[in-house]
Amino acid sequence: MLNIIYCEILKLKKSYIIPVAVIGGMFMSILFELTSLVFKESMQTFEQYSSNLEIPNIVVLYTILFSLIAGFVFSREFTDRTSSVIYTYPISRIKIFIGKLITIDMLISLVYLVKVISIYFSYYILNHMLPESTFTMNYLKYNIYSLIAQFLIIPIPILVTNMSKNLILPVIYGIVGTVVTMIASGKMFQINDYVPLVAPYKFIMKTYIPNLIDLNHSVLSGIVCFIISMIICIYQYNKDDIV
Amino acid sequence: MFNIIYSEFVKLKKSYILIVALFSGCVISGTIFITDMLRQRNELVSLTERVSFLEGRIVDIDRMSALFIYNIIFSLIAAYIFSREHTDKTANTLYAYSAGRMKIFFGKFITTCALIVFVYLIQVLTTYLSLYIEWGVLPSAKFISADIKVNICSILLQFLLMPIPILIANITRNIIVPIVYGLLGDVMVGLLLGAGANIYSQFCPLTLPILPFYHYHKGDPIDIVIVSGSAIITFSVFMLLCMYHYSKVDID
Amino acid sequence: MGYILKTYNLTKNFKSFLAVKDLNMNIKQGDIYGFLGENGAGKTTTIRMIMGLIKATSGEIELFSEKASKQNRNLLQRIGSMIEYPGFYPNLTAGENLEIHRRMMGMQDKNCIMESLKIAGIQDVKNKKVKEFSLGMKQRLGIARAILHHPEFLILDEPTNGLDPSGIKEIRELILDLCHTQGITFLISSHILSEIQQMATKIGIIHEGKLLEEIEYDELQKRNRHYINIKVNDDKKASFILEQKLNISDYVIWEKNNLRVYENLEKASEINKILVSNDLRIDELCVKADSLEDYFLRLTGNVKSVKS
Repeated sequence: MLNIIYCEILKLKKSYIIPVAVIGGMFMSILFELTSLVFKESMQTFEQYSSNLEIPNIVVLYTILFSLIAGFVFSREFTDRTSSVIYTYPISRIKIFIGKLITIDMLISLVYLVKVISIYFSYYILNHMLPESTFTMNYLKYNIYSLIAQFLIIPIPILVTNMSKNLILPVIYGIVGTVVTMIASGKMFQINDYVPLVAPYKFIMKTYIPNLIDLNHSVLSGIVCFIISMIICIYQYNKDDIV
Repeated sequence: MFNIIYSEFVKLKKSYILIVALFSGCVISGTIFITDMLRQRNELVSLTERVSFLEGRIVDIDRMSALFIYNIIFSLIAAYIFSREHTDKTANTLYAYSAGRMKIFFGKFITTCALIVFVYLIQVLTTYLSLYIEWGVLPSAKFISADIKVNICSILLQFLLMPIPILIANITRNIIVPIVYGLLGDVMVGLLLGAGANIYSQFCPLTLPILPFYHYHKGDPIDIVIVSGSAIITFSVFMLLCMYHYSKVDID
Repeated sequence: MGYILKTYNLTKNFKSFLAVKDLNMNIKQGDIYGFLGENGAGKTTTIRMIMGLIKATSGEIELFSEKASKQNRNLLQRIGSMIEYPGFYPNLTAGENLEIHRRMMGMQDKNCIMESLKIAGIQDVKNKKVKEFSLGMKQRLGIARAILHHPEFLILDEPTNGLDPSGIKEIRELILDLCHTQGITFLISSHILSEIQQMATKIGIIHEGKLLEEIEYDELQKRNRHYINIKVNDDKKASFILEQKLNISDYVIWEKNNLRVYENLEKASEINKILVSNDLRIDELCVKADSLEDYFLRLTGNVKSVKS
């Protein structure tokens, strides 16, 4: 299994996807930093600053970015015509699938890591101070939960990619997911709590409005979504003819 | 030239891109339609209330589509049309034709613009249709004509931005980087225009297609000099770069 | 010597299209099996089924005397393959592409990469990115990848595609060398019949999804018919004379003014005398044997003749 993951990471070397992940993680921080410097905004608390960054990241950027990453890792075997090689190794397709899934999860973790570091770094540059450790612990804790929630919903764009064998449909899924997240992150319907795509957002928001956010439904919907989408993914991956 | 454009359209036949264009025109209006149906708004009874609400809804749908969807979708469309020759390995054939590279470039550019018009058309039609189905009324003729004018302005401004993702697609020869450009552009525009069309957001060329919605429907002031300058400079610079790169690059 | 590959009524149906029907293939250890067929005959589909890339609609595959199935994926460790156009990760170097293959095949010895590049003749480009390779170099890299893990059975789909004449000769010599020194069994699909003719020990001819013939090459050579090849200035007059004056019916007009007579081979001089005495000009008259191409064309029903 280690060999499979090593090979998947080696394949990403000198591809666009790692710079895309890094830029995706720090883009908002840089943008906010620049607008704060231009508009000479008065000092915000770290809570205000980070929430202003987290919300557009989670709601607008991440669904499409992670669909793009998942789409790239799976569809490249077809676009580079290496599928006739990779699926003839003496390794089961499920192992290859899990190896690719772990690689995608590592890239998503990289985005979150870059995001957290860039938020702290940009806040320090603007205000020359860091937040309290109690808030930092809470912030990191809910970011990790949000990251895990992302892992739970990533099989959906993987399934879309495997069925379409290209990058376009996962991006379309990302756009749909973004629209759904934007609507469901509002408080219009009761059903919002059950939409798995909102789970990462809710975990992040628990940092800022802990009393108003109930995570039970998000956890449940995330787990159910993961189980169902993984079963369908693995079934489809095993059965599909590689032509 | 006509043959080149016809060939470009034939290449799109049975590709995903037409479905993508159709879908992206309907996504916002469809989503708003479904959420409104689920919310069962019963409080708007009088005709004037409904018409007024409808007009607000149409402006919101137009604005949200332009803010969140169009940058990514149009970057995807432009990148697909230009980079597919490399991914499908048909570049050796296409650029060996007697038609010059510039003609081929403009043929593809026109095809991209045609798809953009198609997306806007679908979006306007589905918006009005879905709102009519839901509320049973249409806004006033004056509003409809103003909305169409605003959308036409926005379309023309989208055309001016297209050389950017085209240049990115030609240099990188794939669709990933143009999509990332579209995505980051969307985020940037969303932040810049979050509080309305202020003077600083008008400097950024990516906000150009959305400014007409803010100016005509919300009454935000627009500095014509800044906007025109931004539009002309962006288009000239990127179009020249595109044309230069397209004519000089080796096809391997 | 046991069988490396046996298929039993292998069939593949793609919705409305029957790609392969009741294919019974037998490849013994040490064979160089030439798998011949026109474009779209079903060669690549068959190879894909053997490698487990696509699932057969019906039938069985036996590899190394064991039934091939998803549970038996370790059998693939003993097989090397190059199917259709070899695909690589363009952003990686040749060495890095082979490193991925080495790890996925579970090979511990890192030196095997350089060894296989040397055998394929591209050891100088180990650190060059694959996107800068020519078609021929990619083909060689595909062969290097296929032999990297010292397989017992090599499946090569059009291995000489894109290679120059010296490259084709090198690959042919490599295949013969690997077969004779290391006892590797080969399944080679190709259109270039002359190449297969020079190396195959067994031939399988597939046409429209059906395996028409499977024959040892020695047996094929015995079976290949001898004929008198006659080039004249008027094939119609010549055919009239053959039928009316010499009572010869087993002949074909192979090309314009070129006839092939399959009977009375010992009477070549008499045939010559009678044709000349009837004012026909004889440009060539000699006894020849059917080539593999002739046999293939006859078997697949593509013989171009006015009369057979």
